[in-house]
This record gives sequence, C-alpha cells and structure tokens, in this order.
Amino acid sequence: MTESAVAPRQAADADKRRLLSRADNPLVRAVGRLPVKVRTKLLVGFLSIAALLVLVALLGLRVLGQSNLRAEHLGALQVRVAGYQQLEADAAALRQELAICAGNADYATWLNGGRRSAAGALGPACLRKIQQPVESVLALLGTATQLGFKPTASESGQVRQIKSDYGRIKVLVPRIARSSRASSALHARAEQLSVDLEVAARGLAETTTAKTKALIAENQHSYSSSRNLFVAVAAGAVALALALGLLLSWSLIGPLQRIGRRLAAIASGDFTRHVEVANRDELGALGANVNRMNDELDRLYRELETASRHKSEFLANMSHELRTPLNAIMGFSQVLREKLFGDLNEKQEEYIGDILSSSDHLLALINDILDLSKVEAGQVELEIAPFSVREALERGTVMVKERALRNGVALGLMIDPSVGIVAADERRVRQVVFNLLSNAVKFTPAGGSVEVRSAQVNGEIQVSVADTGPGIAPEDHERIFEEFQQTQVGVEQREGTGLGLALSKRLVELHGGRIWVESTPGVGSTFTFTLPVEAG
Amino acid sequence: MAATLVGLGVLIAGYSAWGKDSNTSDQKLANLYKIDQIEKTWHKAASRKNLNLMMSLWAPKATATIGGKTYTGKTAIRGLFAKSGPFQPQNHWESDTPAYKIRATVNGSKGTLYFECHYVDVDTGKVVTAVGADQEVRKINGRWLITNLTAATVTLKP
Repeated sequence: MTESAVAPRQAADADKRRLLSRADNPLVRAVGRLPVKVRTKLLVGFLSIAALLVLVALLGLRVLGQSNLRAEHLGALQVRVAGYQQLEADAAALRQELAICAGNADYATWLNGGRRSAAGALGPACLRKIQQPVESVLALLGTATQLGFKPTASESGQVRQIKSDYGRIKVLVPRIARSSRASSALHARAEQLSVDLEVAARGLAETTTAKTKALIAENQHSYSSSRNLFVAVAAGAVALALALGLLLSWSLIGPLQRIGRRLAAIASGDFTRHVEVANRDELGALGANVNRMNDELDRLYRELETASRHKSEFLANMSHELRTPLNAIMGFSQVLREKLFGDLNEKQEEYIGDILSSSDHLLALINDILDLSKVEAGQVELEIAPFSVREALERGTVMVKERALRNGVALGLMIDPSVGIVAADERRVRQVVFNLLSNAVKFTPAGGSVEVRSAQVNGEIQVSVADTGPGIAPEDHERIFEEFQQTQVGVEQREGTGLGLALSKRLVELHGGRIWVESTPGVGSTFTFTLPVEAG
Repeated sequence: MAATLVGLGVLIAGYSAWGKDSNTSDQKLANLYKIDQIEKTWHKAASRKNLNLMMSLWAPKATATIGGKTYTGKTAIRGLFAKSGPFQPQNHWESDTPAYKIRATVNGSKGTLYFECHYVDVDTGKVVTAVGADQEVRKINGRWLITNLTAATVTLKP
C-alpha cells in the first residue's frame, strides 16, 4: 500500500477515534462550548429527562385510559350477550314446552306407519295439560325481557319484535289450554311464534357475541400497538436520557480531568504547558485561571530561583571577603598572645583571649554560611572517592575526644564488621560526623555518654550518633534541620550557629542519603544518616 | 391507580382469552361438525330403513317425547321407530336433508340439535310428511349421542 493511500485511512481512523473518544467527541465539545453556566446545562438536562419521563407516563396513562374504555365496552357487551342468551334459552324452553304436545297431522302420519290417521292431529288432551309449564316459562321470558340495559338502535327493532311475539304467545296460551281438537292451529301458531322468538333472540345473541369477539380482537390489536409504541417510546426516552446524561457528564468530567492533570504537573514544578479547556462555562473560566496561575507561578518561581542564586552568590562572596580580614585578626592576635613582640599585662591577655575566642566563633559561622551558600548555589561538587568509613568515624571521634574528656562524657564507637569501604566525599562525610559528634558532646551533661554506631542496612551505610543529653521535643524534630533553628537548650547555652544540622542535611542529601533524629526528652537523642554504598 | 391496574388486568385477561379462543374455536367447530353428522346419519338410516344405524345415534338412557308421550330407553325408542312411517317396508320414503333444516349449538360436552325431516314419497314425488325435533346431545366416550328428543313443529323455511 502506498503512502498516499495510507494517509487518508489513518486520518479516517483518527476521526473515528475522535468520535468515540469521550472528551474529544464533537458533540461533547459542542455542549462544552455552549455559552451558558454549568448549572443551567444541568438544569436543562434534568428537565429534559423529567419531560421524557412525564411523556412516557402520559403515554402510559393514555394507553391505560383507552384500555379501560374498551374494557368497559367489553363488559357492557358481555352483559348484553348474557341477556340475549338468557332470552334465547327461555324462548327455547317455551318452544320445547309447546312442542311436547306437537301433534299435527304430519306427526300422526309419521307415528302411524305412514298412514293418514282418521283422528287427524294428536293430543288435544295434552294441549290442555301444558298451560302450567308454558305459563311458568312465559313468566321467565317476561323476566328476561327486563334486560337491564338499553338495546342499541340496531337491536331495538328485534327487541320490539320479541316483545310483540311474547305478548301474542301470552294471549294464545290460555286459548290453547281451553282447546279442543280445533285448537291445533292455535298451538301451531304459538309454536311458530316461539320459534320466531328464539330465532330473534339467537340473532341478537349471535350479533352481540360477534361484536364482543370483534372488540376482543380489536383489544388485542390495540394492546399490541400500544405495547409496541409504549416500549419504543420508553426505550427512546431511556436512550435519550442516557445520551443526554453522558454528554453532560463528559462535557464536565473531561475538562475537570485535564485541569486535574495540569494541577498535578504544576504541583510537581512543571510550568511549561497550558491546560486546554474549550468550555465557555465555569470550567472554561477555571481552566483560564489555572493557566494564569501557572504563568504567575512560573514567573515567581524563576524570580525566586534568581533571587536565591543571587543570595547564595552574595553570601559565598561575602564569606570569602570576610574570612580574609578575619584571618589577619586571628593571626596577629595569636602573635600577640605568643608574646613575640613583648609581654602583655593580665588585662591585655584576657582581651586577646576574647578576640581569639570570638574570631573562632565568627570563622566557624562564616565557614558554615559559605558551605551552605555553596550548596544552595550548586557550587559544591563532591569529590567522590573510596574511603574507609571506620577510619573516618575514628578520626571524627578523635576530634571531639578532648572536649568529651573535659566535660566528663564517655565516648564510644561501635562499627559493624560489614561496614567497609564506601565511595563518597570523605571530607564532607567527616564534616557531617563532626557536626553530629560535637553537638552530642556539647549538649550531654557530665557523666553522660555519646556513642557512634555504624552498620550496613538494606544496601546502605547507616551511621548514628546517640547521646544521653536533654533530648529534643517531637515538634522540633524537623525544624532543627532548617537554617538558624536551634532547640531551646541550644539557644540557652548560646553555643552553635544553628547552621550545622542544616549543612549536614544538605551534604547527606547531596550524597543521595537521608538524615533524621529520634529523641525522647530527658532521655537522649540519636541522629542517624545513611549513605549509599555507591554514593553520587 | 386502582382503575389503571384494573384496566391493565382486563387488557391482559382479554389478551389471554383471545389467545385461548382460537383453540376453543377450533374445538367447537370440530364438535359442531360431529353433531351435524347426527342429522346426516339419521336421514341415512331413515331412508335405508336401517334401524340399527338409527339406534346407534342414541344414548343408553335417552328419552323421546312425541305427541305427548315419552319413550325412555333404547328399547322403547327402537319400538317407536319400528312402527314409524319411514321404516315400513311398503313405504318408499327418502328424506330431504338440505342444510337449512338444521340448527346446532355446543357448549363443552353438551349441545342442542334441531332438525326437520321432509319425507318425500319416491313413488309419487310428493312430500308425505314433515316433522321436526329438538334434541339434546352429549359427548359420551368420544361420541356425540342423543340424550333427549322432543318433537317440534316444522318451522325452518328454505
């Protein structure tokens, strides 16, 4: 396949993916771009869904209403069918009663083996016996004609005919009862009327039954149509509500997710990009504000970086400039104290001692500031080389040994055999060890102890300095690693600059290690730092 | 709400009834056909003077009322027919059995049947006698049989 053929296909695939993607869907974007508030969009969405529900409910009510009407109509038809069937049954009973004495000449012939009977018609005596049963059936027929419903216009004619036949039979029956042989014609007429009555009633019953069946069929058809319509509208409503809900939620969630990702990036210090929110609602405004905040933070961050760099450079330069005259002061003070240029009186010796003591303190302070500034300015480059941790720790303890003895503090060193050579900047590590040891010796009262331990734990060299000093309150555990921060005891003793632990922390972190303190006030403190076996 | 539920119930019931109706309608038509066959057999038996065939249409405890007299049981009814015109050897009667002379209803295993017998003397070509009867029929052991007959005046017109 050639490149020219591949390109349109890729574009089409990209379009398809864009259509299926929630956030990039053109419909979702279009909803997002609507220049109305989110509240309004949600309100419109909910109202639309509510309107669909109301529509479905109204449709359901309409269908049920129609069904109710048909049910009522069906009930009325069934009442009519029952009435007409009763009428038919009564008429049939009447006909049977009359037929019991059917005795015309044809029957006489049939019974008589086909010969014409001289007596002619049968049963005049029978005819006289039937008055009672016929009258009881007529009474029933009379009851049945009280239909309890109003016949329709098409049925009225037949109902009138039934009533008329009924009246005529009622007149004939007493005459038949009094009959003689000559009344056979009356009997036949009554029987004929009863047949007409039965036929008419049956006609009404059958017509009404047919209407009932037609209505049931119509009901069935109507039910199917209504059910299909109802299901279709309900399904459509649900689909529309879902689509509307998803469209709205995507138009809100997409921008929120993008803003969330951008804020996470900003929180991690990435100010290089803007969040793209096409919405013209509150989310659009939020996106724009996030972008403004991003730009402003970027600007401030750069300014802070510049200011910090300038401060560090200034401090580094100043420290260097301060050290030069201080060296002269200290040198000449030492020369004077050595009495190379003549004796000093007691007062002069005391003042020279004060000058040297103050100069030492000032030099330590300047050195620490210089180191800290260099670290912050990124001017410290570690000189990584293999060295023996054991030796470094022994030298560190030697440096504070004299002061420990003077203060009556026992000094101990325990190094695990697993601790050997480590690749790190030896001078900086010793500086850290010295800081921790000198603090421990300084704050541990006479009779106390300071112990240095080292071991290899989880691939790291761990060095800890434990003392039995006054301890550090838990709220100070973090604060003491910041510049110029000291514990209350440190402040009261007026010793130290408050820079030693800050500098130690920077140096340890430069090596890729960690430093922390565990302490119980009144019991003592343990400062621990780690170094990767392969530092740097 | 109650009316709505009732309406729905009636609709469902109507639907169910309509569903069943098609089955019952077929059964009813089948039964009506079998009841109709009674008339056919009757006239076949009468025209051929086949008394056994005639008696095969009757239930064991059937009754027949003609001319104010009731005959109970197949033996009595057989005697009635043995004396009747169509079964006399000297009579050459054929029964005309057009469809308009019959009316039948069915309700489950019971039914009614009315039909007329217009006997034509084949020698003269004239109607000798025309009689009718209302009958009650019942399905017994799978067969439709006459359980009661009452003579009636001929009423059906062509």
